[in-house]
Amino acid sequence: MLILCKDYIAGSNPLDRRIGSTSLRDTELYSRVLVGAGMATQVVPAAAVATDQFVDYANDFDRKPLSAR
Amino acid sequence: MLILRRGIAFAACALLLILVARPVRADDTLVLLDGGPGPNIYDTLRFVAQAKGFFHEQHVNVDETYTGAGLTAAQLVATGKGDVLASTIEPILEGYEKGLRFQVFFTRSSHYAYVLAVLADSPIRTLADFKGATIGETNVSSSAEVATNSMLEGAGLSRSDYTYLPIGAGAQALQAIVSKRVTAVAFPYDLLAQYEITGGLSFRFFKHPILQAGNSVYAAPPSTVQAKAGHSPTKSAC
Repeated sequence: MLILCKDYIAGSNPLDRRIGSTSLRDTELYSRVLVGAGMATQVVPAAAVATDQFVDYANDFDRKPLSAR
Repeated sequence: MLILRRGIAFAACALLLILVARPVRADDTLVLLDGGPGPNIYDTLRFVAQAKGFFHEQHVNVDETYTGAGLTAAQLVATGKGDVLASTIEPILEGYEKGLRFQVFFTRSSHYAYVLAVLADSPIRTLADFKGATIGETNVSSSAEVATNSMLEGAGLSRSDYTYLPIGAGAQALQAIVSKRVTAVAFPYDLLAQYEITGGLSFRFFKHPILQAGNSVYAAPPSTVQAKAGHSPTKSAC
């Protein structure tokens, strides 16, 4: 199961290796798609619904001890 | 496999650092409300963090409840019945205009969750072949319809060229697929991967060419997110 879904797990995006990162551009794009699909009537400003403020901190840890665990 | 396991452990650590970035008292409980029907691949990080004792070391008990509907989970968290929402992002984006306020602080998937799929022996090979298809989905008007409609529109099909049929998930969905009650499914990829393993099925997948960003997220009301800013666990957490 993990092997089949390995590309879906956080941190496996080759374009952005930061674990947990949220693309504001993609969030807004998706909001536009939902409006286009009639699921919503208003495009949501991405910054109002997503933040990356914790991501750099969360990715700043020593991977060596964890690799050995 | 070792690289994959390490990657998951790293991701679990990153999740921990975000989830416990708040004032923590002894045996604090963090209530996670999940919009899914049960555990899925995106819970792996939490399970690893749990099993490795990351949460225990930070004196945090994570209590997760599966509600089976993203909007229900979002409404419960918005009314204070939970701390964190685990869901796809659609209830957050669709609920915004109705006054629902959330901030995504961790995207727990690297790819867009929903795919269109047919059994490997299906005569359907291109998107244009979906004309006349009955497409199974987990529930009526599921979020998977957005990407499916967009893909099929791109192939020149109109909405009247195919129909959706809710088939649930698990054994019920598996039965609908195997008995060919549906000719295709618009489902979360991880559920279909599960059916490949447990049901011995093999699927041909059609993924949206533009919608690719991960849409499975952890989110919380903006006030909770702001309250967490500035409160950090020790970096030796993992």
